[in-house]
Amino acid sequence: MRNQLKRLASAIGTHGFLIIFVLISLFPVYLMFVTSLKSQAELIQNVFALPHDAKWDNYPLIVIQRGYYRAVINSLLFAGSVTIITIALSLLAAYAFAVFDFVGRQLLFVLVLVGLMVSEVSILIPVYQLLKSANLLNTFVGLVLPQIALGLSFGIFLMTTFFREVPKDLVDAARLDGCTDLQLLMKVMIPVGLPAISALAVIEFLWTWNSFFLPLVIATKQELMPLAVSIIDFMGRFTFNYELVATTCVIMFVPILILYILTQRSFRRGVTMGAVK
Amino acid sequence: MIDARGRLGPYLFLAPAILYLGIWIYYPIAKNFYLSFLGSDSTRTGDYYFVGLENYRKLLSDDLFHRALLHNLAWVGLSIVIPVVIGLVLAVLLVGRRGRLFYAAVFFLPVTVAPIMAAIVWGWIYNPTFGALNQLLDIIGLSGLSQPWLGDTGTALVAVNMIGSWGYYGFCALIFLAGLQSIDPEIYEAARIDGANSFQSFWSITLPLLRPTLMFVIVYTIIGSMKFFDIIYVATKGGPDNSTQIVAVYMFDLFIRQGEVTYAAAMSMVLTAIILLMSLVVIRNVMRRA
Amino acid sequence: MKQAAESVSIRGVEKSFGRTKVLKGVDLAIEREEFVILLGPSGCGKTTLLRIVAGLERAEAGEIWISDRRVDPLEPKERNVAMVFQSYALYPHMNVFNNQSFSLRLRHTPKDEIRARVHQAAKTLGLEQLLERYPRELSGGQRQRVSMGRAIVRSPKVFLFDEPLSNLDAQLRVHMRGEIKELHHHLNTTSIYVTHDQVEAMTMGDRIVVMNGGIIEQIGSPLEVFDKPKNRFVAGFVGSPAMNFIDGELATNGSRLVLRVPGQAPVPLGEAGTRRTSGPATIGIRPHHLRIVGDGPLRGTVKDVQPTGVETILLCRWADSEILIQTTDRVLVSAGEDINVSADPADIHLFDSETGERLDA
Ligand SMILES: Nc1ncnc2c1ncn2[C@@H]1O[C@H](COP(=O)(O)OP(=O)(O)OP(=O)(O)O)[C@@H](O)[C@H]1O
Ligand SMILES: [Mg+2]
Repeated sequence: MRNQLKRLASAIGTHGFLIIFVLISLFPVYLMFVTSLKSQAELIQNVFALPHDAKWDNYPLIVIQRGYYRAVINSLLFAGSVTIITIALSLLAAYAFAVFDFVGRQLLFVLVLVGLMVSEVSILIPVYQLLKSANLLNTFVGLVLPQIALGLSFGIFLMTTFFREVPKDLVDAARLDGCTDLQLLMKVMIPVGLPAISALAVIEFLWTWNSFFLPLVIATKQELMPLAVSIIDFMGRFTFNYELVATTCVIMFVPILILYILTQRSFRRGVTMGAVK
Repeated sequence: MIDARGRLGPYLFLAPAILYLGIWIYYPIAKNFYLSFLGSDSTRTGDYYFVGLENYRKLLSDDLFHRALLHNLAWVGLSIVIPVVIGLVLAVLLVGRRGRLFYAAVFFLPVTVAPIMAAIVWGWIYNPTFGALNQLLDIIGLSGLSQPWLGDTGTALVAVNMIGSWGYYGFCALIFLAGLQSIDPEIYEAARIDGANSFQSFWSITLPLLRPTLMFVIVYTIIGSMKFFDIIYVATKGGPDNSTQIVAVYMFDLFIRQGEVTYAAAMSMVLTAIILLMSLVVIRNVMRRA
Repeated sequence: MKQAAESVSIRGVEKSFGRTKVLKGVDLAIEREEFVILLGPSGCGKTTLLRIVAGLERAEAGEIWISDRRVDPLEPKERNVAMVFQSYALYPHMNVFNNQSFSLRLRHTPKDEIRARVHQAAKTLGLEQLLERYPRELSGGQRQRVSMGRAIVRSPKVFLFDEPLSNLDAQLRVHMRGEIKELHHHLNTTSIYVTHDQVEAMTMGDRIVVMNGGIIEQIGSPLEVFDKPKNRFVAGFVGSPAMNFIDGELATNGSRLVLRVPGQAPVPLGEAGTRRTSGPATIGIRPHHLRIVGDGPLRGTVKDVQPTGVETILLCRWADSEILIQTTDRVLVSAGEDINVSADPADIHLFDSETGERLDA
């Protein structure tokens, strides 16, 4: 009896603690959604409450009249191309690291790992100068090119770890069946590695979608800004128009939220694969 | 593994990625290093000449830089004490519990929120006039504690770190959870039979076995704490009165606004050096397992 | 599906991994249609040799010939050999049909022909009902069969098997052994088959190749290897339970050769013939050749009696020597008793103590 009570109390305590963190995790997201639907007066009156009279027209106002669809498209193109190119380059390199034994393998792998740690802060100035001298500042290409480099090492590392776990016999069987290297990659490694590839794709997309530092410097023209930069640009002009800023935030977050709900497993696998392995 | 002695295959597969990293990572770092030894009379003309260690000497006597670096270090400490520990506790509570997937999914949600968005929304939460935090304090009868969290030099750094922590503890929890789940449950049963209570088995089994994961998270946290930028840039821009100034923001300001290219390069070099040094720990770890 | 069988010739193959030499000059000629067994202890280089024949590994010296074509400079796919792996190595993302047809599709074989060949192979192996299944939906024996089917649809010039049955349970193993033999009778493709299993080695092959430490110790028909092991290693490795070895000094008793064993009566070895008649030597006697007889030369104490039903195995010891006796008689001795044993001189193998080489008449 006492034991059972104790167990019950400890379960309640634990779940209570966990629920506090559920609230902490969700509240800012909730706040963002409700703020986008409230008037200024209502916001100041009670920040917690749901809106009385939801101002849905903020959305068409922002997306169409203020031209926010541009930023959405920019972000989709930006994150999409970065993700695709990163994955293509990662797959090629990871295949080489995982399948071949060649002179310089260790050294090159260390070089790749170094790239894993380097941040945009370390490369900002030369990258800016490079883009400037190539006339790529404020161009889509200039936005995409350096961004790929930031996630490339992670992609190579993740895919190498995964490809190494493909049984050696499977690779040998495919080579005996007549695969060239490219066929082995395309017809065996990639299909077998699909779960890892989708995890990588999701993570890479998220990072790029949310990235701010390089786009802030490279895309200063409004037509080119992805959402992250665009929101800050917008906020600079309408700081106190909270519901409009919140609306832009929701617009930026909803695609990620949908992606997250649809691909949770891939998301979590991508994050933990790099760390625990 | 295929023995590729004398074959071009692997190099062809590697070439695109390595070339890419060469242009956009290795070359910029080298160039940055080079720039850090240059100086110019006028920031606009771009006529640089060699000044040796002059920029680094300047860093030694730049009080603002020292403060910024100190804030980065404080950020390391705060990030280990708050999100890492919270993540560990949450993971320990979740492992083996029913509903852990739901909790993990919720805790990870903030990780998907862009740092700039977190900074904006938390800016409202901290807002002195309509901020949820002050209102919450009112409700629970602690209105005396109310203050402009981001506007006060005393609280700004911690307050802004909370924003980062909010987007980070779910990440830590997920990684610790994966680490914990890789521990064989039979070890705990053996410990129970040996008479260990749950705290004893946490100290003598979980922590030691979790050490590699813990190491990873800590090193990762340190590296992240050196290079982060977005939250501070959006929430405080380093203010008030430089109380949240950090190296990345200071360097960005020097480069973009003041055109102090070579001095900013030296500053980013210091940051890069710290990060690479920390990275060695990680790389050595990875290579040992590779 | 049948095509003219090819011979395989392995000439002076050497291979090292890092500083360890794994193959130290291997020569082996395999006739057309032959089924050759590679037998040897773990780590002796069997898999490595097989992989070199397949082209998955490069030897640093030596040549591989398939019929009159030198193949060692060629890529695996240009050699047209098929390999059946211990782990089966089925493509997890392809169903059985696609697993089997993969190599043909890579070679752009016409669709009709692919279908015909896969169905033919499926019929041979009893896989017709399973063509739509994925590997994860198959049992171990079925996977094994698919991996063989994958090998035979290509009509390869040479079959390589690397312990293909070792992941199956005992019963299935016996069954698959029969199937592989039958398949070979049917297709007559030249085959190299690696195994650890004594019974597989004895029953499946035309010839057995015994390897040890990167060299070939003996090549011969199963019975040759069993009855006339070339040296002490082969004698000890082939056969189960393993051969007994007893050290002693050679001597003569008139025209007859005997082995003097400390503490024992001389063991008669028959007519001396041209054999060496002095110096240290080792005799080898298979457990089933030892008989318990009152006047046997070797006397020891029974330490253990293991009846297995069909036969009984006795462990007998004297001084620091130990021998096994295997007999189908229901023996009536028990542990602790002293017994005498003897063997027909014709069943005693004689080896040089130093070199381990067989000493023959
Ligand atoms: N890729 C490799 N790198 C380094 N050493 C290797 C490699 N492959 C095999 N070896 C070594 O070469 C030796 C022979 O290996 P091999 O796999 O040919 O043995 P085996 O006879 O097939 O053994 P088993 O019966 O256990 O399968 C072993 O000592 C093994 O450790
Ligand atoms: Mg082997």
